[in-house]
Amino acid sequence: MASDCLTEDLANDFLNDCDNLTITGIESNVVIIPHSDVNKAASIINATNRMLLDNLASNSGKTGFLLEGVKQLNGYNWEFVPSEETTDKYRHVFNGVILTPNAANRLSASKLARGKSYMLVIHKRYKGANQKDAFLVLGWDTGLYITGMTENSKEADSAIKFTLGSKDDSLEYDAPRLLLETDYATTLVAFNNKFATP
Amino acid sequence: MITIQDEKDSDGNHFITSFIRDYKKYFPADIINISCDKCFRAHYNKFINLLKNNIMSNSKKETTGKLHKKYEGIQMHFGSKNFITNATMTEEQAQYLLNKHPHGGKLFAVLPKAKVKTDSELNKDELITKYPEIDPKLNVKEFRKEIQAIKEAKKAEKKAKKAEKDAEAKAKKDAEGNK
Repeated sequence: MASDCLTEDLANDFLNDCDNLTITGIESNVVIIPHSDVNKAASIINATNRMLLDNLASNSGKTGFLLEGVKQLNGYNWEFVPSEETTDKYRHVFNGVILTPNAANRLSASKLARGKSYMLVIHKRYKGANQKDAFLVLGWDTGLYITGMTENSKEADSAIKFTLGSKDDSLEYDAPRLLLETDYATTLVAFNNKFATP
Repeated sequence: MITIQDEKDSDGNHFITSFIRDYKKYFPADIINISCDKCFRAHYNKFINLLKNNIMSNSKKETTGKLHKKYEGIQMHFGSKNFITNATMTEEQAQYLLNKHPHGGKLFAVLPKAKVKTDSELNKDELITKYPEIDPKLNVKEFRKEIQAIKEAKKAEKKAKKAEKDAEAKAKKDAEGNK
């Protein structure tokens, strides 16, 4: 039935893998892709698991953008948002830091806050069995918007801190999805190339 | 490397401008931060390794294949020192990626043309398909002998036809000459 996704039953156990227990944190860099530049026709959701993307593609001539990070200054989280009026949804949130507040980065930060939504690809420190769980995609359905941006000369060495999150009226239909383009190495190349399409 | 960053050539052009242009040809997605010495050194070493591993190769041949931009710089295989870009990819590398890499054809925006195998590279089943006129019950050695015989017969037939054609043309020319 077409609406099974709203009423489907639990079908598998939750099993732990002692060799691949979760660890905290993300790798330094994050790729930010304007949501309108993602080619959803060319991107592929796994046929047997909708929480896994087999391919992430951008539109012709478009690319993602790198947010260079260090240590664990960047981070993400998500939460379940129940609703009495409509389907339950999810809020995805990303907290980022711009460590070099030069003119070029200030301009990029300004453009980021111009009301458009973004999809983010996170490279996690946790890689999982056979390194298949390393990449996470935030904002697949509706994208994340700037919900806060600050610069304080007395805090965080005056770095520019910002938050991207799902808007209350356009939450995500699911938790963040994993991305695996066949294997970790291939996905990492695509990540480093910011999922650009000529 | 200090020379590249600081100095100019005899025409007054900065070496660093040429380096960035050449680097971008092979690694278009990388952002070069010239004010960061450590970052620049990493880019420099990456470029030098590329020159050593790819451009110096003797098996350079133009390939019909083209990688998706997001897969440029992909390793030939796990642990390989070869990072393949469209600018440096040889036909052998393209065929290897197509046939052996886990992502296979999905790496390519334009697939390389399938390599046409010569008879010596085909196995018996493939030879039987290619030469249905030969008895498939023969063993491989005899099968290949039959193939050789067929090829020689075709060659002789072609030669005979050409001789006949040349003779006709000569006779025609002689006849026109006598008129």
